[in-house]
Amino acid sequence: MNTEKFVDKNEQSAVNNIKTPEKPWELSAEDSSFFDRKFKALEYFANKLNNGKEQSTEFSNNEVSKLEKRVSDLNLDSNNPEEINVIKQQINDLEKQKQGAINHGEESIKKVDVESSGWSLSPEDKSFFDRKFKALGEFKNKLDSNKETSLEKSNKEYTPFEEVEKIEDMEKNDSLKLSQQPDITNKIKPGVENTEDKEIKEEIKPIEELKEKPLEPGDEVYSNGNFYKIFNIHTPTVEEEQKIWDGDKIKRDKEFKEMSGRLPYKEGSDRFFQEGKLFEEQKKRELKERGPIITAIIKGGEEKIEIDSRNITKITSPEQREKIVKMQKEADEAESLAAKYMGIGATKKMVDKTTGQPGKF
Amino acid sequence: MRVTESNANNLDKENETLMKIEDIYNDTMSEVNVLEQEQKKIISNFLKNKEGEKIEQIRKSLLN
Repeated sequence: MNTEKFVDKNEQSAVNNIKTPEKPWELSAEDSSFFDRKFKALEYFANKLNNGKEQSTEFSNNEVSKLEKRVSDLNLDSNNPEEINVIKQQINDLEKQKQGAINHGEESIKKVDVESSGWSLSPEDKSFFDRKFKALGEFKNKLDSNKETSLEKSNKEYTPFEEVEKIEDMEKNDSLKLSQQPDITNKIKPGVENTEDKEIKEEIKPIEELKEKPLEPGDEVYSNGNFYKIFNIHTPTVEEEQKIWDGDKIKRDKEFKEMSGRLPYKEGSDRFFQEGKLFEEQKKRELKERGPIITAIIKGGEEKIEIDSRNITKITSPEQREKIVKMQKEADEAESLAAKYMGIGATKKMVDKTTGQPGKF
Repeated sequence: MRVTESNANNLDKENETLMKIEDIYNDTMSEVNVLEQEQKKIISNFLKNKEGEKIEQIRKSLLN
Protein backbone atom coordinates (compact mmCIF):
# COMPACT_ATOMS: atom_id res chain seq x y z
CA MET A 1 0.00 0.00 0.00
CA ASN A 2 1.30 3.41 -0.87
CA THR A 3 1.58 5.62 2.22
CA GLU A 4 3.73 8.25 0.59
CA LYS A 5 0.83 10.64 0.01
CA PHE A 6 -0.23 10.46 3.62
CA VAL A 7 3.10 11.76 4.92
CA ASP A 8 3.60 14.23 2.10
CA LYS A 9 0.26 15.77 2.87
CA ASN A 10 1.22 16.30 6.50
CA GLU A 11 4.59 17.67 5.57
CA GLN A 12 3.07 20.03 3.04
CA SER A 13 0.50 21.17 5.53
CA ALA A 14 3.20 21.87 8.12
CA VAL A 15 5.10 24.00 5.61
CA ASN A 16 1.99 25.81 4.40
CA ASN A 17 0.82 26.59 7.89
CA ILE A 18 3.88 28.46 9.06
CA LYS A 19 2.85 31.76 10.56
CA THR A 20 3.54 35.07 8.99
CA PRO A 21 6.21 37.10 10.81
CA GLU A 22 3.50 39.46 12.07
CA LYS A 23 1.96 36.80 14.32
CA PRO A 24 4.64 34.23 15.04
CA TRP A 25 3.25 33.19 18.41
CA GLU A 26 -0.09 31.93 17.18
CA LEU A 27 -0.85 28.25 16.78
CA SER A 28 -3.30 28.13 13.91
CA ALA A 29 -6.19 25.75 13.61
CA GLU A 30 -4.18 24.00 10.91
CA ASP A 31 -1.15 23.55 13.19
CA SER A 32 -3.34 22.33 15.95
CA SER A 33 -4.96 19.97 13.47
CA PHE A 34 -1.50 18.79 12.45
CA PHE A 35 -0.67 17.89 16.05
CA ASP A 36 -3.91 15.95 16.19
CA ARG A 37 -3.07 14.20 12.95
CA LYS A 38 0.20 12.99 14.44
CA PHE A 39 -1.78 11.04 17.01
CA LYS A 40 -4.09 9.89 14.23
CA ALA A 41 -1.08 8.77 12.22
CA LEU A 42 0.08 6.55 15.08
CA GLU A 43 -3.38 5.06 15.28
CA TYR A 44 -3.65 4.85 11.48
CA PHE A 45 -0.46 2.81 11.00
CA ALA A 46 -1.10 0.66 14.08
CA ASN A 47 -4.57 -0.19 12.72
CA LYS A 48 -3.16 -0.86 9.28
CA LEU A 49 -0.70 -3.34 10.73
CA ASN A 50 -3.40 -4.94 12.83
CA ASN A 51 -5.56 -5.32 9.71
CA GLY A 52 -2.47 -6.69 7.99
CA LYS A 53 -2.52 -9.64 10.41
CA GLU A 54 -6.03 -10.64 9.36
CA GLN A 55 -5.28 -10.01 5.69
CA SER A 56 -2.16 -12.16 5.92
CA THR A 57 -4.04 -15.12 7.46
CA GLU A 58 -6.77 -14.68 4.84
CA PHE A 59 -4.17 -14.68 2.07
CA SER A 60 -2.56 -17.92 3.36
CA ASN A 61 -5.94 -19.62 3.76
CA ASN A 62 -6.98 -18.57 0.23
CA GLU A 63 -3.74 -19.87 -1.23
CA VAL A 64 -4.16 -23.26 0.52
CA SER A 65 -7.82 -23.43 -0.63
CA LYS A 66 -6.81 -22.66 -4.22
CA LEU A 67 -4.09 -25.31 -3.98
CA GLU A 68 -6.52 -27.95 -2.73
CA LYS A 69 -9.09 -27.08 -5.37
CA ARG A 70 -6.53 -27.12 -8.16
CA VAL A 71 -5.14 -30.49 -7.04
CA SER A 72 -8.68 -31.82 -6.77
CA ASP A 73 -9.50 -30.48 -10.28
CA LEU A 74 -6.42 -32.23 -11.68
CA ASN A 75 -7.97 -35.53 -10.56
CA LEU A 76 -4.68 -37.40 -10.51
CA ASP A 77 -4.61 -41.20 -10.41
CA SER A 78 -2.01 -41.26 -7.65
CA ASN A 79 -2.92 -38.66 -5.06
CA ASN A 80 -0.74 -38.57 -1.99
CA PRO A 81 -2.36 -36.35 0.74
CA GLU A 82 0.95 -36.24 2.62
CA GLU A 83 2.49 -34.13 -0.18
CA ILE A 84 -0.22 -31.46 0.22
CA ASN A 85 0.19 -31.59 4.00
CA VAL A 86 3.92 -30.81 3.62
CA ILE A 87 3.07 -27.80 1.44
CA LYS A 88 0.39 -26.70 3.89
CA GLN A 89 2.92 -26.91 6.70
CA GLN A 90 5.39 -24.76 4.72
CA ILE A 91 2.65 -22.18 4.05
CA ASN A 92 1.72 -22.23 7.73
CA ASP A 93 5.36 -21.69 8.80
CA LEU A 94 5.64 -18.70 6.50
CA GLU A 95 2.34 -17.39 7.83
CA LYS A 96 3.79 -17.54 11.35
CA GLN A 97 6.81 -15.56 10.16
CA LYS A 98 4.50 -12.92 8.65
CA GLN A 99 2.54 -12.64 11.91
CA GLY A 100 5.85 -12.33 13.77
CA ALA A 101 6.99 -9.51 11.46
CA ILE A 102 3.70 -7.64 11.91
CA ASN A 103 3.84 -8.05 15.71
CA HIS A 104 7.38 -6.70 15.67
CA GLY A 105 6.22 -3.74 13.55
CA GLU A 106 3.41 -3.02 16.02
CA GLU A 107 5.83 -3.11 18.93
CA SER A 108 8.21 -0.74 17.10
CA ILE A 109 5.38 1.73 16.43
CA LYS A 110 4.37 1.62 20.10
CA LYS A 111 8.02 2.30 20.99
CA VAL A 112 8.11 5.36 18.73
CA ASP A 113 4.90 6.54 20.37
CA VAL A 114 6.45 6.16 23.84
CA GLU A 115 9.66 7.89 22.72
CA SER A 116 7.68 10.75 21.22
CA SER A 117 5.44 11.15 24.27
CA GLY A 118 8.27 13.20 25.82
CA TRP A 119 7.34 16.13 23.63
CA SER A 120 3.71 15.49 22.78
CA LEU A 121 1.19 17.56 24.66
CA SER A 122 -1.15 16.17 27.26
CA PRO A 123 -4.71 17.64 27.17
CA GLU A 124 -3.78 19.76 30.23
CA ASP A 125 -0.59 21.03 28.58
CA LYS A 126 -2.44 21.72 25.36
CA SER A 127 -5.03 23.74 27.23
CA PHE A 128 -2.23 25.65 28.98
CA PHE A 129 -0.50 26.41 25.69
CA ASP A 130 -3.76 27.43 24.05
CA ARG A 131 -4.30 29.94 26.85
CA LYS A 132 -0.70 31.11 26.60
CA PHE A 133 -0.95 31.70 22.85
CA LYS A 134 -4.18 33.56 23.35
CA ALA A 135 -2.64 35.74 26.05
CA LEU A 136 0.38 36.47 23.86
CA GLY A 137 -1.96 37.55 21.06
CA GLU A 138 -3.76 39.91 23.45
CA PHE A 139 -0.49 41.40 24.71
CA LYS A 140 0.65 41.93 21.14
CA ASN A 141 -2.55 43.80 20.36
CA LYS A 142 -2.02 45.91 23.47
CA LEU A 143 1.53 46.56 22.34
CA ASP A 144 0.34 47.56 18.86
CA SER A 145 -2.09 50.07 20.34
CA ASN A 146 0.72 51.44 22.54
CA LYS A 147 2.83 51.78 19.44
CA GLU A 148 0.22 54.01 17.84
CA THR A 149 -0.23 56.20 20.90
CA SER A 150 3.49 56.36 21.75
CA LEU A 151 4.37 58.67 18.89
CA GLU A 152 1.37 60.89 19.59
CA LYS A 153 2.47 61.09 23.23
CA SER A 154 6.04 61.86 22.20
CA ASN A 155 4.80 64.59 19.88
CA LYS A 156 2.66 66.12 22.62
CA GLU A 157 5.54 66.11 25.05
CA TYR A 158 8.35 67.28 22.78
CA THR A 159 7.01 68.72 19.55
CA PRO A 160 6.97 72.52 19.94
CA PHE A 161 8.75 73.44 16.74
CA GLU A 162 9.78 76.87 18.01
CA GLU A 163 11.77 75.12 20.74
CA VAL A 164 13.46 72.80 18.25
CA GLU A 165 14.23 75.73 15.95
CA LYS A 166 15.72 77.62 18.90
CA ILE A 167 18.00 74.68 19.67
CA GLU A 168 19.01 74.43 16.02
CA ASP A 169 19.71 78.19 15.87
CA MET A 170 21.82 77.88 19.00
CA GLU A 171 23.79 75.09 17.42
CA LYS A 172 24.29 77.11 14.24
CA ASN A 173 25.48 80.09 16.26
CA ASP A 174 27.86 77.92 18.24
CA SER A 175 29.41 76.45 15.12
CA LEU A 176 29.59 79.96 13.60
CA LYS A 177 31.36 81.25 16.70
CA LEU A 178 33.74 78.31 16.56
CA SER A 179 34.58 79.01 12.90
CA GLN A 180 35.23 82.67 13.79
CA GLN A 181 37.76 81.70 16.46
CA PRO A 182 41.35 82.73 15.62
CA ASP A 183 43.57 79.97 14.29
CA ILE A 184 45.73 78.94 17.20
CA THR A 185 47.57 76.06 15.55
CA ASN A 186 50.55 78.24 14.61
CA LYS A 187 50.84 79.57 18.16
CA ILE A 188 51.50 76.11 19.64
CA LYS A 189 55.15 75.65 20.39
CA PRO A 190 56.69 72.17 20.60
CA GLY A 191 57.02 70.97 24.21
CA VAL A 192 54.79 73.74 25.53
CA GLU A 193 51.28 72.80 26.52
CA ASN A 194 48.71 75.12 25.06
CA THR A 195 46.12 76.01 27.68
CA GLU A 196 43.32 76.71 25.12
CA ASP A 197 43.95 73.32 23.48
CA LYS A 198 43.78 71.66 26.90
CA GLU A 199 40.41 73.29 27.59
CA ILE A 200 39.05 72.16 24.22
CA LYS A 201 40.26 68.61 24.85
CA GLU A 202 38.55 68.58 28.24
CA GLU A 203 35.31 69.77 26.65
CA ILE A 204 35.46 67.22 23.87
CA LYS A 205 36.44 64.25 26.06
CA PRO A 206 33.03 63.50 27.63
CA ILE A 207 31.31 63.64 24.21
CA GLU A 208 33.81 61.16 22.78
CA GLU A 209 33.32 58.90 25.75
CA LEU A 210 29.58 59.07 25.24
CA LYS A 211 29.91 58.20 21.56
CA GLU A 212 32.16 55.23 22.18
CA LYS A 213 30.11 53.84 25.02
CA PRO A 214 28.41 50.64 23.89
CA LEU A 215 24.71 50.04 24.33
CA GLU A 216 23.71 48.83 27.75
CA PRO A 217 20.51 48.12 29.70
CA GLY A 218 18.73 51.32 30.64
CA ASP A 219 19.80 53.18 27.49
CA GLU A 220 17.14 54.91 25.47
CA VAL A 221 17.06 54.03 21.79
CA TYR A 222 14.99 54.82 18.72
CA SER A 223 13.99 52.08 16.32
CA ASN A 224 11.35 51.90 13.59
CA GLY A 225 9.33 54.90 14.71
CA ASN A 226 9.39 54.14 18.43
CA PHE A 227 11.43 55.04 21.48
CA TYR A 228 12.48 52.15 23.71
CA LYS A 229 14.34 51.63 26.93
CA ILE A 230 16.77 48.73 26.67
CA PHE A 231 16.02 46.00 29.15
CA ASN A 232 18.59 43.38 28.22
CA ILE A 233 21.31 42.72 25.63
CA HIS A 234 22.25 39.15 25.01
CA THR A 235 24.66 37.72 22.47
CA PRO A 236 23.46 34.20 21.71
CA THR A 237 25.88 31.35 22.37
CA VAL A 238 26.73 28.87 19.64
CA GLU A 239 24.16 26.45 21.12
CA GLU A 240 21.49 29.15 21.24
CA GLU A 241 22.28 30.17 17.65
CA GLN A 242 21.87 26.54 16.67
CA LYS A 243 18.55 26.36 18.50
CA ILE A 244 17.28 29.45 16.68
CA TRP A 245 18.59 28.00 13.42
CA ASP A 246 16.83 24.66 14.02
CA GLY A 247 13.67 26.45 15.05
CA ASP A 248 13.63 28.48 11.85
CA LYS A 249 14.06 25.42 9.61
CA ILE A 250 10.43 25.10 8.53
CA LYS A 251 10.30 28.83 7.83
CA ARG A 252 13.46 28.53 5.71
CA ASP A 253 12.07 25.54 3.85
CA LYS A 254 8.91 27.51 3.13
CA GLU A 255 10.91 30.48 1.79
CA PHE A 256 12.96 28.16 -0.37
CA LYS A 257 9.83 26.43 -1.62
CA GLU A 258 8.29 29.80 -2.55
CA MET A 259 11.49 30.71 -4.37
CA SER A 260 12.14 27.45 -6.17
CA GLY A 261 8.80 25.66 -6.03
CA ARG A 262 10.35 22.72 -4.17
CA LEU A 263 11.50 21.72 -0.75
CA PRO A 264 15.30 21.69 -0.28
CA TYR A 265 17.18 18.38 -0.12
CA LYS A 266 14.06 16.27 -0.45
CA GLU A 267 13.68 15.56 -4.10
CA GLY A 268 16.59 17.04 -5.84
CA SER A 269 19.15 16.75 -8.49
CA ASP A 270 22.72 17.81 -7.60
CA ARG A 271 21.97 21.27 -8.93
CA PHE A 272 18.91 21.53 -6.73
CA PHE A 273 20.88 20.31 -3.73
CA GLN A 274 23.53 22.98 -4.38
CA GLU A 275 20.85 25.67 -4.64
CA GLY A 276 19.45 24.55 -1.32
CA LYS A 277 22.94 24.69 0.23
CA LEU A 278 23.57 28.22 -1.05
CA PHE A 279 20.22 29.32 0.30
CA GLU A 280 21.04 27.82 3.70
CA GLU A 281 24.41 29.58 3.74
CA GLN A 282 22.77 32.90 2.89
CA LYS A 283 20.25 32.42 5.72
CA LYS A 284 23.04 31.54 8.13
CA ARG A 285 24.87 34.75 7.19
CA GLU A 286 21.70 36.73 7.84
CA LEU A 287 21.40 35.12 11.26
CA LYS A 288 25.01 36.09 12.09
CA GLU A 289 24.50 39.65 10.88
CA ARG A 290 21.46 40.00 13.08
CA GLY A 291 23.77 40.61 16.05
CA PRO A 292 22.84 40.44 19.73
CA ILE A 293 19.30 39.89 20.92
CA ILE A 294 18.12 43.19 22.38
CA THR A 295 15.08 43.10 24.64
CA ALA A 296 13.49 46.48 25.17
CA ILE A 297 10.44 48.13 26.67
CA ILE A 298 8.54 50.57 24.52
CA LYS A 299 8.16 54.01 26.09
CA GLY A 300 4.84 54.17 27.86
CA GLY A 301 4.40 50.39 27.68
CA GLU A 302 5.22 47.53 29.98
CA GLU A 303 5.85 44.53 27.78
CA LYS A 304 9.36 43.47 26.81
CA ILE A 305 9.93 42.84 23.13
CA GLU A 306 12.91 42.12 20.88
CA ILE A 307 14.15 44.88 18.61
CA ASP A 308 16.46 44.61 15.62
CA SER A 309 19.97 45.52 16.75
CA ARG A 310 20.87 46.61 13.19
CA ASN A 311 18.29 49.37 13.21
CA ILE A 312 18.88 51.25 16.43
CA THR A 313 19.80 54.85 17.17
CA LYS A 314 21.06 55.50 20.67
CA ILE A 315 19.56 58.59 22.24
CA THR A 316 22.41 60.54 23.79
CA SER A 317 20.72 63.84 24.49
CA PRO A 318 17.27 65.43 24.78
CA GLU A 319 18.13 67.51 21.69
CA GLN A 320 18.74 64.41 19.64
CA ARG A 321 15.42 63.04 20.79
CA GLU A 322 13.69 66.29 19.77
CA LYS A 323 15.28 66.07 16.35
CA ILE A 324 14.15 62.50 15.84
CA VAL A 325 10.61 63.34 16.87
CA LYS A 326 10.63 66.25 14.44
CA MET A 327 12.06 64.14 11.62
CA GLN A 328 9.53 61.41 12.28
CA LYS A 329 6.67 63.87 12.21
CA GLU A 330 7.92 65.44 8.99
CA ALA A 331 8.35 62.01 7.41
CA ASP A 332 4.79 61.09 8.42
CA GLU A 333 3.43 64.33 7.03
CA ALA A 334 5.38 63.89 3.79
CA GLU A 335 4.16 60.32 3.47
CA SER A 336 0.60 61.37 4.11
CA LEU A 337 0.91 64.18 1.56
CA ALA A 338 2.50 61.86 -1.00
CA ALA A 339 -0.24 59.31 -0.46
CA LYS A 340 -2.84 62.02 -0.94
CA TYR A 341 -1.31 63.22 -4.22
CA MET A 342 -0.70 59.71 -5.43
CA GLY A 343 -4.34 59.00 -4.73
CA ILE A 344 -5.45 62.01 -6.72
CA GLY A 345 -3.09 61.08 -9.55
CA ALA A 346 -4.31 57.52 -9.66
CA THR A 347 -7.96 58.65 -9.62
CA LYS A 348 -7.25 61.14 -12.40
CA LYS A 349 -5.54 58.49 -14.52
CA MET A 350 -8.42 56.12 -13.96
CA VAL A 351 -11.02 58.78 -14.93
CA ASP A 352 -8.97 59.74 -18.01
CA LYS A 353 -8.71 56.13 -19.03
CA THR A 354 -12.38 55.40 -18.44
CA THR A 355 -13.79 58.53 -20.09
CA GLY A 356 -11.13 58.73 -22.78
CA GLN A 357 -11.14 62.49 -22.19
CA PRO A 358 -7.90 63.64 -20.57
CA GLY A 359 -8.40 66.60 -18.30
CA LYS A 360 -12.05 65.90 -17.59
CA PHE A 361 -11.62 65.27 -13.96
CA MET B 1 10.09 34.08 19.18
CA ARG B 2 10.56 31.33 21.74
CA VAL B 3 7.07 30.12 20.96
CA THR B 4 7.82 30.04 17.22
CA GLU B 5 10.96 28.01 17.90
CA SER B 6 9.10 25.62 20.09
CA ASN B 7 6.34 25.35 17.50
CA ALA B 8 8.80 24.74 14.69
CA ASN B 9 10.75 22.25 16.82
CA ASN B 10 7.57 20.39 17.60
CA LEU B 11 6.60 20.32 13.94
CA ASP B 12 10.05 19.00 13.05
CA LYS B 13 9.69 16.31 15.66
CA GLU B 14 6.20 15.53 14.40
CA ASN B 15 7.57 15.04 10.91
CA GLU B 16 10.43 12.95 12.22
CA THR B 17 8.03 10.70 14.14
CA LEU B 18 5.71 10.36 11.16
CA MET B 19 8.68 9.37 9.04
CA LYS B 20 9.80 6.80 11.62
CA ILE B 21 6.32 5.31 11.81
CA GLU B 22 6.00 5.23 8.05
CA ASP B 23 9.42 3.54 7.75
CA ILE B 24 8.45 0.89 10.29
CA TYR B 25 5.18 0.26 8.48
CA ASN B 26 6.84 0.07 5.07
CA ASP B 27 9.62 -2.24 6.34
CA THR B 28 7.10 -4.53 8.00
CA MET B 29 4.88 -4.71 4.93
CA SER B 30 7.90 -5.33 2.67
CA GLU B 31 8.86 -8.27 4.85
CA VAL B 32 5.26 -9.56 4.75
CA ASN B 33 5.20 -9.19 0.94
CA VAL B 34 8.45 -11.13 0.56
CA LEU B 35 7.03 -13.97 2.70
CA GLU B 36 3.79 -13.97 0.67
CA GLN B 37 5.77 -14.23 -2.55
CA GLU B 38 7.58 -17.19 -0.98
CA GLN B 39 4.22 -18.81 -0.18
CA LYS B 40 3.03 -18.26 -3.76
CA LYS B 41 6.26 -19.70 -5.13
CA ILE B 42 5.94 -22.89 -3.03
CA ILE B 43 2.34 -23.43 -4.19
CA SER B 44 3.15 -22.57 -7.79
CA ASN B 45 6.08 -25.05 -7.89
CA PHE B 46 3.95 -27.78 -6.31
CA LEU B 47 1.13 -27.22 -8.81
CA LYS B 48 3.58 -27.20 -11.73
CA ASN B 49 4.76 -30.66 -10.66
CA LYS B 50 1.19 -31.87 -10.27
CA GLU B 51 0.24 -30.46 -13.69
CA GLY B 52 3.27 -32.28 -15.14
CA GLU B 53 2.02 -35.47 -13.53
CA LYS B 54 -1.42 -34.85 -15.05
CA ILE B 55 0.05 -34.31 -18.53
CA GLU B 56 2.01 -37.55 -18.15
CA GLN B 57 -1.18 -39.28 -16.98
CA ILE B 58 -3.09 -38.04 -20.07
CA ARG B 59 -0.23 -38.94 -22.41
CA LYS B 60 -0.10 -42.46 -21.03
CA SER B 61 -3.87 -42.89 -21.34
CA LEU B 62 -3.74 -41.61 -24.95
CA LEU B 63 -0.94 -44.08 -25.79
CA ASN B 64 -2.92 -46.90 -24.30
